[in-house]
Amino acid sequence: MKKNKLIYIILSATLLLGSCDAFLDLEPLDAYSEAIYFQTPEHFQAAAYGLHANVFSRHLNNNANANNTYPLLFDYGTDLVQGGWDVASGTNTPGVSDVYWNQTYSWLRPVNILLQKAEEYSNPSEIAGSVGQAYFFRAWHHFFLLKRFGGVPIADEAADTDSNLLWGPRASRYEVISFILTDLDRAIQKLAGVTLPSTDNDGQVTLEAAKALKARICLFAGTWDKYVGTKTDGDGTASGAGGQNQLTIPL
Amino acid sequence: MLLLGICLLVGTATAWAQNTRITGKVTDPAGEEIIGANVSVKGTTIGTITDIDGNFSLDAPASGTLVISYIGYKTQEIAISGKSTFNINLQDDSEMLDEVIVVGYGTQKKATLTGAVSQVRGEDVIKGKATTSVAAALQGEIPGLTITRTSSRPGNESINITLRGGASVNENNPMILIDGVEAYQWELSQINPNDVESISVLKDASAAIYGTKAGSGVILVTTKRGKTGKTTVSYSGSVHANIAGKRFPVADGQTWAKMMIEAVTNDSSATGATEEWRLWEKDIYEQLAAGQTYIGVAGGGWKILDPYADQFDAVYGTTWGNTHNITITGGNERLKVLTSLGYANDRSLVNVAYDGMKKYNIRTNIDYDVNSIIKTEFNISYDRRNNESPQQGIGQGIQDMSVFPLYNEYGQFYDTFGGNNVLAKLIEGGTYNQTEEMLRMGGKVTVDLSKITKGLSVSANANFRIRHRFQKERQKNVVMYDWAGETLTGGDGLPHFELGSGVITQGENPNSTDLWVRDLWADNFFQTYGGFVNYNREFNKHNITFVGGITAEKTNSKSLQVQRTGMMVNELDDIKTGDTTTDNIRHNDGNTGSSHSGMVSILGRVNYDYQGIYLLEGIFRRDGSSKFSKENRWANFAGVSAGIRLSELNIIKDLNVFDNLKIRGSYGETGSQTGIGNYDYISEISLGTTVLGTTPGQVSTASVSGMTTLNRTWERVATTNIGLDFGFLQNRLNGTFEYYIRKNKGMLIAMTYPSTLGATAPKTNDGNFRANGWEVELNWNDRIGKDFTYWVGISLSDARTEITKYSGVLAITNGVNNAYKGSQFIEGKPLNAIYVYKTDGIMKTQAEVDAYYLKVNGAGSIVPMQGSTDELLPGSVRRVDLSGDGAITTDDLYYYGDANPHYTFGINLGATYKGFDFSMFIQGVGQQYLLRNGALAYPFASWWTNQNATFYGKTWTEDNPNAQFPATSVNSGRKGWSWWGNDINVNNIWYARAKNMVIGYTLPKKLLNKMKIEKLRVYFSGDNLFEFSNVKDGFDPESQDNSNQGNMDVYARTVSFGIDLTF
Repeated sequence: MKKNKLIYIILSATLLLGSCDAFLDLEPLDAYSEAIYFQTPEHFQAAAYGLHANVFSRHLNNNANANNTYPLLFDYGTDLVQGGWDVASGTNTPGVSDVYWNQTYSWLRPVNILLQKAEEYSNPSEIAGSVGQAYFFRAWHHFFLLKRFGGVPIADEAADTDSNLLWGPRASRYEVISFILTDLDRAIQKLAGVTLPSTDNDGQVTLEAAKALKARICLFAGTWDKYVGTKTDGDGTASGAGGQNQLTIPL
Repeated sequence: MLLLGICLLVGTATAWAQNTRITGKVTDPAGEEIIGANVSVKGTTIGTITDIDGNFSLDAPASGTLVISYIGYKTQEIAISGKSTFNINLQDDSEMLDEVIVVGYGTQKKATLTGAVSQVRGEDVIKGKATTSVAAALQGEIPGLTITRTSSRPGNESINITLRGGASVNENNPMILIDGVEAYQWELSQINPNDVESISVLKDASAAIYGTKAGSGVILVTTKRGKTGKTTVSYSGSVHANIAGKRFPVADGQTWAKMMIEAVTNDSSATGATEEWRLWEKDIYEQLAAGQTYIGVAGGGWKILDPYADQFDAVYGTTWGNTHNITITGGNERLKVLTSLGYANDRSLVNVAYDGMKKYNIRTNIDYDVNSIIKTEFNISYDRRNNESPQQGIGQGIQDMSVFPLYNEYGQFYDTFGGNNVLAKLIEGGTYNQTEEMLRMGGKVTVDLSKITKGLSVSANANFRIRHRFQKERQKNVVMYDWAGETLTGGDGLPHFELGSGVITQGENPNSTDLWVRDLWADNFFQTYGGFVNYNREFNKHNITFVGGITAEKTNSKSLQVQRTGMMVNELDDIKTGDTTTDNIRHNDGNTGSSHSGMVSILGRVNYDYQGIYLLEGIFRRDGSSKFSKENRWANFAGVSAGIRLSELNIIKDLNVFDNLKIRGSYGETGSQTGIGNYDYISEISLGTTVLGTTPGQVSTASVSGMTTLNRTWERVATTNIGLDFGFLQNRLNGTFEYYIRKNKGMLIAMTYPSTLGATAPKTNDGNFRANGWEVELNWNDRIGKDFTYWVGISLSDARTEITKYSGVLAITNGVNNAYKGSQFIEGKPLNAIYVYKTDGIMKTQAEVDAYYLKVNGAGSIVPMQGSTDELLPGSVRRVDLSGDGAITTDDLYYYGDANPHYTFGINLGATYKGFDFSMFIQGVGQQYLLRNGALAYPFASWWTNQNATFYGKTWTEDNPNAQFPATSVNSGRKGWSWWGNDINVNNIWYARAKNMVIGYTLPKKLLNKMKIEKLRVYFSGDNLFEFSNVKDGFDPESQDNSNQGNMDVYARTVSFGIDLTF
């Protein structure tokens, strides 16, 4: 009898050890999390839909369907929108942060998360459209940065606090263009099989959109080459990233 | 343990022996007979109780052992060895060295304890105090434990507990356990104080056995258990009156008007300034200042302004509270039971409406020994607390100028000053009801395996804690009337009917959204299981004790908050009576949802001592938490401590000075889970919609919200402690000294990362924190003659803190930096570091002002511009340009000191003479810098409220050029310059408060015995009756720095009468 009780105690102690996971593997109950998301093509599609809204709008408050949260004001972030008194007195100083820089990198993060999740997904062909759109937007945002800042750090991952993206040097403008064009080629390849004819794409990024963007960027880069030359991206210390043009743009 | 074993053996062996008649007498240390002492023969069912003269007689085996016990005395065992008469003298149970100290997962003898652990008995710290909160009763009682409160409202004291100055900028609240099961801090005010046997505080490495939750120390509450002896029923009850203590330092209507006139007049001499009378015309202020009631149009409406209106007395007054407790306890060798029932009702000083708390407590603790091998313990308790307060108006009104009458001449709530009649809100504004229920159940089985290996036992326990919370907020419409008794006229005060004709238009509810009810249901289920091995053995002067175990715990929570507006009638509070179209499930404020978290731990402690002289202890804990990803969820914590009882060494014994002398040291590491959410390692997905398509339509979107990082873990707090225990003069004088250094390595802080991160980074372990300090405790107990005993105890402690690393120095702000849970931090400075401007006196003439401007008017200076209406005037202070750059800027701020309480102390005094007892407890703070902020911090901090009258008459005017304080001003530039953020605005305060005084009388036993009563004591007690303090701005010395309405409360003084009765 006593022996039995002992055995029970030992048994229950063992059970306790064995059922560790019941006490430790606990996931959120009242919110979607990574743990249960990015499991179906619909999840990827919803994430890709979300990327479509992450663009600067041309107009403020006069287009109901535009993203009015982030208007593209031509002079925003320059010394022209400082207080009038500062401008008049010539004492204004540009701000130390820039809304277009910050906002673009925060839009690049979900793009990279989608692409990282896509790598873990078992059936890539199911999510080709969403992934293609993500590559498109990664190119789009880098092009935006390139136009504004020249060479910038390339956001090719969803960074952690110790990532090279945060602490490394910025890439040269040629590296950025190269990165953009690689992304667009991937986008074109992924979108080729999923883009529907006519207007059935319902406002989403299509194969043609990716091709058009590629053409636009090639024109931009080629124009730079023609008029500025190939070795002008600063000296790497006082200005620019010091990179050289390694690129042959297919014209 | 060994002795007990022998006794057991002896007891069993003699069970068959021949019984003989034994008689004897039991007395207390003073020689008084003890009535009702329990006398039994060990290992048998033979037993009796002493009679009225302390005598007993029983038949017992000649070779047996007598066990004599009585509550409050040490149990004695005496071998009969053939004797037949005994004179037994029981010793008081308070002998220090034999005291058993509750530590993590066990108990230790105080004599051989090596950690810094302070323990107080419930009887000592709670008895006689009117508060029903254990936390409030502990204030000042334990050195190193700083307890502050911002209010004396029962259940809403806003108690903050900090051990040894804190351990982090994130979380400083110690872990609290009730009978070994984790508890919320507020449970200290929910449990029945009468049930508390002891409270012990683990301050150093001794807390390491609680691992990741013990970073800020551990408070262990142990409840009373049944004792062997005859069944006793005791009742204790008291009734008390709460009386308003220090009134708010607000001006009466007349003084307020005078202050306003003075300030506006001062301001009018500035360049380009005109007299700005703000609320009303000048002659109204003059009329009020002269003490006359104004009747007429003021500020666009018709008003009655009465300089003798008093809101304080209308709202606050004496309230009554009472407590009742019944405890039934008894048991024999095998079964011991304690059951208690408690009820308490206490109110705040608001006496126009119920603002208070009712508590109901039930507890049963059972110890049952199945046989000599299996022992069980079972606890069950149910605590229910109901807090009821007015939904509107609490804490308000103190800042309204005392010129507004509360009733109009028809006896209605009068208001022409912006819907602000505090009395109407308190009485008619609805109620806020909060019910907390806590059901705790726990069981423990211990199996003695001495038959396998001597000293070995195993145990297993399971505990459940079920919390249910129901909260109902009901807001009702408050109808206020103008002087004409009308409400529909927009409160212009002008009669729309003939004034005084008695025609009163009853107000219709103008806005049904004012009427709402909000219900919150919250459930929390906490379960914990443990399996332990205990080993305790002596090998030829070497003593070894080991406890090892594995525990697992899990918490499940869920809650729902719903709201409806447009309630049909005022009388019903159920949400069903609201407008069905207004249903609102409130999930954005975190009140709706569910979550769970868990932890698995392996723990162990080894104690070794040689002859009880050389002491050594090692502690280990390994915690696995569900709050981290699989790879990062485990962490190890450990502690070691050692001590030498010098007084046991012959060389010290020969000196014949020390009764006790022990030095000890410890080092241990603990963790803190604070700042880490339940699922921080998993990113949440936020769902939304956007518009897409040639025919625009909504589509679902998803994105990962926020950012997670795996590069973070628990904060790690390492404590080094050195302690000294001593006792002289037959232990009449004894004390303890502790010194400690506590370092938090890896404090969670918010770092700023490059924005290429694309998200806001969570807090990371990049900060360091350090606290060091000391604690002294001295006690003197003595007896004069046969009947008079007295004692004095003093405890004093101090702690200094420093944020040693916080990602480089950030900008210094004027005022308090490094606030606990704040946002502005400065590396290398303590918590609550005060930065102010140095001042160099008050300028007396315009020439001085001009000269000052020439020195400080450089580029970037924050000095109010000369020649503007804000300009400095005679009566303003000079701020010193410390940086010497010709301008006053934030570079001129200097570190003044920290705002933490220092040299906190407690003094216990007491004496007994025959049946009389007297005790007193004084608590205080020796030094604290206080930079008061908010509306009543200085004159016209908010010009639209009532003003702090303590400054009136002490401020600079042309007639009073040597005044203590600068000139008053309503101008925001000038008043801020002279009255806030300067060295002269920091109060250097101290206080000593008589927390509790008790005078009791215990009726003689001989008298009571005829009535079959064992003990009857009556007492009078007073809480917070008086204080000594140098606080000069009129506030209660316990008040915190914020003087805004709602953050300040009137502290109560309480007078009680109570009885303790035992059958």
